[in-house]
Amino acid sequence: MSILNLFSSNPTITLTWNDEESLPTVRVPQDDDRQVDKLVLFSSEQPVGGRVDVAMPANTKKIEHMGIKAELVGQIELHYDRGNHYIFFSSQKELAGPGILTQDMSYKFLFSDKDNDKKYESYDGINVRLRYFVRVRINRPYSAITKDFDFAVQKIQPEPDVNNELKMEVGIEDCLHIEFEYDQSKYHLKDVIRGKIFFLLVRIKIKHMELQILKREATGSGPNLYNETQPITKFEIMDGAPIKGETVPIRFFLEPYEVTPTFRTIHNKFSVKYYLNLVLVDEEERRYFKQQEITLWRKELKHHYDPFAKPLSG
Amino acid sequence: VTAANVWLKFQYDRVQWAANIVPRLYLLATIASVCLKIHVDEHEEVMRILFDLVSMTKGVQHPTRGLFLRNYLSQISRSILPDVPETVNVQSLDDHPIVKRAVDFVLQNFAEMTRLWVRMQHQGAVRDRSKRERERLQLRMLVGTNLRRLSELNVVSGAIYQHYVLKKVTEQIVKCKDRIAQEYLMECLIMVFSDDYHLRTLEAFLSVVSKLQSTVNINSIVIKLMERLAKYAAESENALKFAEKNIFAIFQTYCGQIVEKHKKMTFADRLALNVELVHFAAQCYAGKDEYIGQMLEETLAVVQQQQKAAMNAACVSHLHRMLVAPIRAMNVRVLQFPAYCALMSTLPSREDVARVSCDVVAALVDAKVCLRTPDEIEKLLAMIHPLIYDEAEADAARDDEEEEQFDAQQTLVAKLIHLMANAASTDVHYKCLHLARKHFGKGGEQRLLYTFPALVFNSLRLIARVQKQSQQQEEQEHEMEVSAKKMFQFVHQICSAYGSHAPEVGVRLWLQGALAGNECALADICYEFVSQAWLCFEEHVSDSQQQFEAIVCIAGYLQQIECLEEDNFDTLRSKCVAHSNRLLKKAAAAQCFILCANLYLDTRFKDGRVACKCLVKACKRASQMMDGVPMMATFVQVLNKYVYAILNKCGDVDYDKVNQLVALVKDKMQSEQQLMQAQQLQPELQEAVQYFRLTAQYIDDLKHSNDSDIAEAFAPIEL
Repeated sequence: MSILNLFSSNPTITLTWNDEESLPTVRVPQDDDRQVDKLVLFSSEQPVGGRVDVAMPANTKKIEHMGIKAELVGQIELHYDRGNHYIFFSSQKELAGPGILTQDMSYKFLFSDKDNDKKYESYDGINVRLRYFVRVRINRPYSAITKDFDFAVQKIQPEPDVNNELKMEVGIEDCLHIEFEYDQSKYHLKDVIRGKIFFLLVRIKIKHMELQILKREATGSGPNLYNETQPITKFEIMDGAPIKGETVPIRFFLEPYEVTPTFRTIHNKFSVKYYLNLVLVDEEERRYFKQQEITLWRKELKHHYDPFAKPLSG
Repeated sequence: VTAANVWLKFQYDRVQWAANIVPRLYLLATIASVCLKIHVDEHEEVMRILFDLVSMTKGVQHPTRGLFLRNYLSQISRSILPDVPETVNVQSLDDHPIVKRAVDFVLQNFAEMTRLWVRMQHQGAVRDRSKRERERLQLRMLVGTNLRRLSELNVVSGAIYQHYVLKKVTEQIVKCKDRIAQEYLMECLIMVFSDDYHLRTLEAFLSVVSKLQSTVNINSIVIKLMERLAKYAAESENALKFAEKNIFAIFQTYCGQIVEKHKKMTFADRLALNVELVHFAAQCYAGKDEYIGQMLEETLAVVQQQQKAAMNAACVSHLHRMLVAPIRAMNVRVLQFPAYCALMSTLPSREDVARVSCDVVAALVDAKVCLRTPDEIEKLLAMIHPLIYDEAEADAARDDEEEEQFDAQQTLVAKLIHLMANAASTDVHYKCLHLARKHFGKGGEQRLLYTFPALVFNSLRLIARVQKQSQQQEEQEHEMEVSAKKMFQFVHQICSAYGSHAPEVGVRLWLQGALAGNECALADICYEFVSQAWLCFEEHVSDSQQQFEAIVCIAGYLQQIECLEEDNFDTLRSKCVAHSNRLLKKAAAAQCFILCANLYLDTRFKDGRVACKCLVKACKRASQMMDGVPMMATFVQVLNKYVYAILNKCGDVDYDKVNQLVALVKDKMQSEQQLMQAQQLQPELQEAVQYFRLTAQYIDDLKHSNDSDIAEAFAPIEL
C-alpha cells in the first residue's frame, strides 16, 4: 500500500493470484518502470485467476460505482511510440455490477479457455516490451479507478521436426581457413551447443577464440525500423594458437544465460533473433568472425536462475 | 543414484559454464577427479570421463598452458586407470576393451602433449631460440611422464608393447619431426621400459631410429640402447636370451643402415657407433670373437679412409675405448686380429699411442691374461712400442710430471712381463722371455731398470718349473729342449747387463739367481752368481749405506745356500768378513760382524774360531762408537750372539771375553743412567736396559737349567 493511498479517497485494490505461493516467478530487469522484482509466471494455456480485494479508504464511508471489472490484457509497447500501445488481446470479466461499496470486498475471477488466448510470450527488450496484465477497473461517473497487475507468460513449444546441423567452411584466402560445425540449428533454452572447429589453414597468430551469442531485436517497420544487436555472452573456446589440422571442441551450456526463444514477427511489431558468433582474435587484437543464426525454442518453463540458489535436487 | 551423485553430475556441468577456458578446464578436471574416485570401480564410467576430459582439453592450444593442464590430467588419472592384475600377461587388447581404452587415453594425451611441446619451438622470435630450447628441456619431464605411465600399466605386457604401444608411440615421435623431442622421447623409451621389451622390439625400435630427423643425435640413442642391453646381458641369467637371438647382428645391420642414411654423420660419431658395437659384442657375446673382429676390420677401413688430421680428440678417445674394450672379453686373442694392432697405429700421435697402450696393458694386467707365445708378444710389443722404445732422438730429459708418468708406464710394462707364461711348454715360455729380452734390451737404460728385474724373476720362476719337471718326470714324452743351465746363462746375461746400471738391485738379482741355483743344486752356477754379486758390489756399490745394506743382504742369502763345497763357500763368506772390516761406519761394521758370525755358526761348515773372532771385532767396533746408548745395545746383541754360540756348542767361546762384556755393559749402563739422571730417561736407553735385563735373565735361567750340559756351559758366565 503506497503512502499516497492513505490520504486518497480511492479504495485500495490488491490482487492475489490463485495459489500464488506456489507459482513460479521470473525476474524483471531492474530498470523496468513497473518497479517490481519479479513476476509470477504462467504458461500460455494456464488459466489466469485470482482474487481482487478492494479496501475502503479511511474516512470514507461509501463509494458509488458503475461496476467493477477485471480485464486480461496482452499488449506490445514500442519505445519509439510511447503511449501508443498495441493490445493484441483482451478479455473482460465483470466482478460486480453497479452499486455502492460500503465495506472492504473480495472478488474472484478466472480467465480460462476462450478468454485466455496468450499466444505470445512476455518479452522485455531494448526497444520493445510485450506484457500481460490483469487490469482491475472500478468504474465511476467521471473517472475510473484502475490498477494493473502484471504477470509473465512463457510458451512451451513443440520439439522442432527438422533440426539440421550447421556446418560451414569459411576463411580468408591464404590466411585462415576453418570449418565449423554445430550439432543442431535449433536449441532449447537449457540446451548445450556442441560442435567443433577444424583448422584447415592457419597463417595468422591466433591468440584465442570465443563463441558469442548475439541477440538481434528488430522493432517497427519502414522509417521506424530499429535494430538492436546485443551480445548476450562471450565464451572462450580456445586458448593459444592452433596449427593446421587441429580440431577444437565446443560445448556451450545455454542454461546460465538470459535468453528467450526466437521470436519471428510478433504481431508485425517486432522480432528477436539469435546468432552464434564465432570470433577469432589474433595477437594484434584483430578479430575475425562468422555469425550463424540459430533458433531458440522453449521446451519448458524457465525460472529465474539464481546463482546463489541451492542446487537443484532430483 | 544418490543425491550426492546427482549433485556431482550437476557440478560437472556447472563448472563448464565458466567463460574462460583455462580455469574452466582446470575446474572440470578437478571435479572429474572427484567423480573418478567415486566411480573408480566402474571402469566404463571412468574411461568415459577421462575421454571427455582429454577431448575437451584440446581447447587449450597454448603450448605451456596446455602441457601443464594435460599433465594435471595425467596426474588425476594415475591411480584410477583401469588395469589388469599384475599376474595377468595380456596377449591381446581385444580381450580387454576397457583397459585398451585406458592405454589409448594415455597414448592420446601423450600424442597431444608431444605436439604442444614441439610447437613451443616455433613460437616467438628467432633470436630467442636458445632460451626457448632451454625452456623446452625444462618441460620435457611433463611429456616423458606419459611414457612412464604406460610402462607402469600391467596391461602393457611385452606383447602389447611390441604390437601396439611401441607402434603408436613411435608414430608420434617420427611424426613430430623435432630434434629435441625425438632425442628425448627415444631415450625415455629406452629408460622406462624393461630390457626384455627392448630385446623383443629391437628391430622395430632401430628401424624407427633410422626414420628420425637428420639433426638428431642418433648415435647417442643407439648407444644408450646398447649400453642398456649390455648391462642386461651382464646379469648372467639373461645370457640365454642373447644366445637365442642374434642381437649383435641386428645392431650391426641397423648401424650400417644409419651410417648409410646419414651422410652428414661425423667421423667421430661413426667411430663412436662402432666402438659401442665392439663394446656390446664384448659384453654380450664374449665367446664370439668374430663379431669383434668384424667391427675392428670395418673400423680400420673407415679410419684408413680418413686423413690423420681429421682425427680429433673425440676420435682418439673413441679409438682408445675400442682398443681397450675387447680385452676383457677376448684377452690376448684380440691380438690375432691384424686390424686390432693396425688400429693402434692409426692414432695420430706417439703420445696417443703411449696413452692408449698404457690402458691396454693395464687391462691385460687386470684381466690376468697369459701371454703364451712369442708371436703374441711380438705383436703386442710392436703395438705398444712407445712404451718399449724411445724414438731415436726423443730420449730427452723428462720433467717431474713426465718422470712420474714414465714411472707409471714402466711399472705397467714390468707387470706385463709377469703375464708371460706358457703352461704347456717351458721351451715356448723360454722363447717368449728370450724375445722379450731382445725387445726390452733396446729400450734404453732407464727402461731396463724396470723391465729386467721382472724378466729375471719370470725366468727364475721358469727355472724352478723346469727343474721340478725334469725331476718329476724323467720319462716325459717331449724332451725339454732348453735346460735349466741354459736359462741360467740367460739370467746371467740379463743380470750382467743390469748390474752396472743399478748395482744395489743388481746385487740382489745376482743373489736371487744364486738362490735359484742353490735350489737346483747347481753348485757352479750358485758360486758364479754369488761371486758376480760380490763383483757387482765391489765394482759399483760405493755409497756406505748401500754397502752396508748389500753386505747384510749377501750375508742373509749366503746363510741359505747349502750346495757349495767348503772351499768355495769359505771364499765367499770370508769376503763378507773382509768387506765388513772395510766399512767405515762403526755401528754398521759391528752389525755386519754379528751377521758374519752367523755364517760361521749356523751353516753347513761351522768354524767357531772365526765366529768368535767376528764377535770380538764387533765388540771392538762397538766400543769405538761415540754414542753410549747404541753402543750398549750393540754390546747386548753381541752378548746374545755369544749365548747362541754357547748353545750351539761352539767350543771356541772365550768366557773371559764374555764376562768382560757383561761387566762392560753393566758399567756402561750405570754411567749412562747417571748421565741421564738429571734429564728425562731416554726411551732408547730404557729399551737397551730392558734388553740387557732380559738377556741376563735368560742367561741366569740357562745357568740353572735342568740340562746339566747347558748349566755347565753357562756356569762360567758371571752376571
